[in-house]
Amino acid sequence: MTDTACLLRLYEEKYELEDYQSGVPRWCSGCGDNAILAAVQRLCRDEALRPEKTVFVSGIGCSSRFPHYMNTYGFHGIHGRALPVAEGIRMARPDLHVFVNTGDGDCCSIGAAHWLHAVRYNMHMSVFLHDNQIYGLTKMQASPTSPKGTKSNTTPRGSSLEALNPLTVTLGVQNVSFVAQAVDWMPDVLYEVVRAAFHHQGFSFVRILQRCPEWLPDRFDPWMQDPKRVLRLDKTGHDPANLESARALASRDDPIPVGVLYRNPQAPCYEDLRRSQGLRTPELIRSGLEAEFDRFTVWP
Amino acid sequence: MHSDLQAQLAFHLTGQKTAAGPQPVDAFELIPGLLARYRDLTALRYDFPLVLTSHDGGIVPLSRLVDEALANESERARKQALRREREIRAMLAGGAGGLLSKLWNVPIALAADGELADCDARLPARFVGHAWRAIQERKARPLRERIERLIARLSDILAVDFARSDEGRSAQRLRASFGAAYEQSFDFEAMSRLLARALPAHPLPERRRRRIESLLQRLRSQQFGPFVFDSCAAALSAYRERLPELVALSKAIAAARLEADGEYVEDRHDAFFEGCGDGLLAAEGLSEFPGYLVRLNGAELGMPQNAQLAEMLASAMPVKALVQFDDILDRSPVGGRPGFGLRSRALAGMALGLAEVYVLQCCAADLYQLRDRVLKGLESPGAALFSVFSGASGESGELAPYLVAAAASESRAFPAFSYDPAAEGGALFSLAGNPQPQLDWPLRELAYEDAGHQRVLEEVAFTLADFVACDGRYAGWFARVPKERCNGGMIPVRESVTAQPSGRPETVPYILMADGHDVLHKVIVAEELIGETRRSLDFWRSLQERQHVRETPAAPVAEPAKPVAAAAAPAVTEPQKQPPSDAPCIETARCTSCDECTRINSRMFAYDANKQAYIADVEAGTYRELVEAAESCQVSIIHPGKPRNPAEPGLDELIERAEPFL
Repeated sequence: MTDTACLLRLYEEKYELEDYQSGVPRWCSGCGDNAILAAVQRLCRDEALRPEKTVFVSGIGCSSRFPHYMNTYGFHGIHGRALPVAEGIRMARPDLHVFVNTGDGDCCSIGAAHWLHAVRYNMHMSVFLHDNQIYGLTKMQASPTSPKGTKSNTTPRGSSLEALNPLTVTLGVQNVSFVAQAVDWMPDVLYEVVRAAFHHQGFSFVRILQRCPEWLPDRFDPWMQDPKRVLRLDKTGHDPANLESARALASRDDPIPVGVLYRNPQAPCYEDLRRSQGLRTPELIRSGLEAEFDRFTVWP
Repeated sequence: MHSDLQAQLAFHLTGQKTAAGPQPVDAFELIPGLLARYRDLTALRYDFPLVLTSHDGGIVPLSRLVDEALANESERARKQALRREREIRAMLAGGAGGLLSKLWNVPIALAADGELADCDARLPARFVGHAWRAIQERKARPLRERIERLIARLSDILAVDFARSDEGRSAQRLRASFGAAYEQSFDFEAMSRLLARALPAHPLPERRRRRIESLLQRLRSQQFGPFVFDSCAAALSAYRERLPELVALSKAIAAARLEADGEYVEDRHDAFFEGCGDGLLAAEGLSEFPGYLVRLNGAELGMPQNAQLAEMLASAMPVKALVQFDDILDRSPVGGRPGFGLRSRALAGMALGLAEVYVLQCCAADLYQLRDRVLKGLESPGAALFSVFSGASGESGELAPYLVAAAASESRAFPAFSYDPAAEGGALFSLAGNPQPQLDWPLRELAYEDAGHQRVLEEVAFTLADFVACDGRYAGWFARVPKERCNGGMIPVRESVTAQPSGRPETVPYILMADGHDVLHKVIVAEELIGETRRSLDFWRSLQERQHVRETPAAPVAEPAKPVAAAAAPAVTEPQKQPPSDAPCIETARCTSCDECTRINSRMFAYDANKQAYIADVEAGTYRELVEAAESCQVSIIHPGKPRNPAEPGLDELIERAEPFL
């Protein structure tokens, strides 16, 4: 062994899809989560994200099985708390790529409070809201985003409330910086949106309407069978910098707008505001230790 | 006139020349009439010289590089560039060579650089060798990357083990690892003590360590070639010596992968790797390892070498054999008739009989035009044979090897053909590259001025007799007939050969040849050469029948006048294409990776690199499964097409169910 600064040689990184695959997904056949998984794995491959520098954080729900199927670091947390965990990771390890997979129950119900403040904090992460408009893991209860009239185990006569719109809620929070929407049955648009979210510096919120073939099998059939009922924002000339226009689009559900609704790269991120600009010894220590420990990704 | 014909017949049948009869022809005094306008090739622009590009293994004509560079240049620059191109062509014809960048002294940038190659005796080996090396390099890259990755991962295991050892946790090592940037930021002695307390040493088991080191040694010792040989014996011997190393390397790669993933179980895998031998390397497995190139001289292919060549080709060795013939008009050593081209024909017959071998025969002049077929053969996973006639026998006087080679192809003395065992749709055998392959010989228009200063256009075939007329050794088989002694008993060789022989001949075959002043002469041909021409035609017809392109002899041969420069499109049979609506398909780009179809049949439906489904093997499942997949598909992108097996049960119901998805 030679006396070199680096004990491990880092070979040229070229990743394949298989490098990010871990385990066979146990979602139902036809579940939209499969499409989201495929799109995210493609993103990791195309951006050559180092698996040891990438972490997926989730709460509870079908969507939150996501980290188990990614060959990266993952944190499968408790119900509704994916976002505060992810924020903690960002503060402790600003060098990691942080992704959050949450569902309509995990984010918009029990986790709603964390969600609002996470938008305001605008910490750099990509959040994917797997919105299938039902509680799937617990076998069919109405969620905050279930359309009015949805029959479920808890609303046998149909839900009586208007559905919560995650897009308008997010766009209503101060310091919002990135909001987008996609649908799982258009994989090319889904991929482009996921990629745009990754590249945005700040809190990227992406609502992905996904099918639940088990509990709401026909929910999106009218939109799937008629492409005109899905509005591709990249082809309409919509300006993502225009907040009012974004809010107007966000309130529409027919046609479903897909693409980037709003993007503000100037919104300040909490990490930048919080961190002192001066050189601090503990920071140096931590970065040195982290750089050294990160080399040891091999477990003999 | 009768006495003239008698004298001509006497020469034709016996070779006897009389003072009043046909006049002898000196070697190289005359050349075939169709070649007269090509005496000075350096004044013409054509495929040669070629540039063997340095950076990507490509091969491109110099004339094309110049044309691309001159796209937006001025007339003056154009003249300068074309003049230099001509000069380079002349230099190469005179035996010079070198890098294009060294010879190109014109201030117009060309898009590529590389060694220049003219059509000469060295061309076949250079052309094939250059393309082969590029392909080998490309093929070796993934294997090389894979091996390097495994080496890195295994080395990492050892490195981590070292780092966790006492020596690795020593203050000195830690200081070196952190680097100078953190020299003053840490107390490495304290860190070392901390690590020693916190992390007890768990060294790698010695057996595992030895195994990893052995694997690393094996992986690092892999040779990537190039493996080029000049004899079959040397290639076979090297292959046999290397085969155990390849088996050992395959085992090492498999074991290294298991080790790197932490999945190596000694109880199970030690015995497995100990016990498996050659079976680990199926024929397909050899294709990812470097192949062999064997360059042979056709003139030296005797019985033992032929046997070794056959063994090499038949053994599924990943070998590409280039057999170069410089002379196809050498007389057969058996004696009796001349036997032109016997060796090359025997070689072709042997290779075609092996069925699994890619075969390409062509002359050097056509190598660039047939480069796709050359590349296909070099890329084929199994054995391939390239039989190339260089045209550089040295027996054709001042005729350039390019012309001699092209003449061999034109006269069917050395026709181009290819056999691709992996081709689909019945396109295994092909005569592409031959001019007018549906005819016995290509017909070209010869324009000349007659005695009355009128332009005459005559359709002339270029037969084996014309090709042999280029060779000085056989000048004795030709005799010039003065104009005043020409008679109706003289017929073109083409007609003489294809006519049915009936007893005593009453006509004399002739060809048209031109002298140094471009004056045309009728030159009669000896019977011995007609016999060879007939045999050459028989071989050509057998090739035509392989591909079913022959026109029957009774069909009218006269075609509309063709310009000499234009080649007629070969009438090859295109494989039948299925109408798109009958074949099953998937709109892969819209696939949402939902696993519905792959769960129905994971051999019929597979995911591509983007984890989107496509039909991997339609034969691997039934029409029922196609229809079920179409019905299950969440985004309705599977189109089952029409059923392929009419005997499949329940077809009526299935067709009805498939209707919405067609």
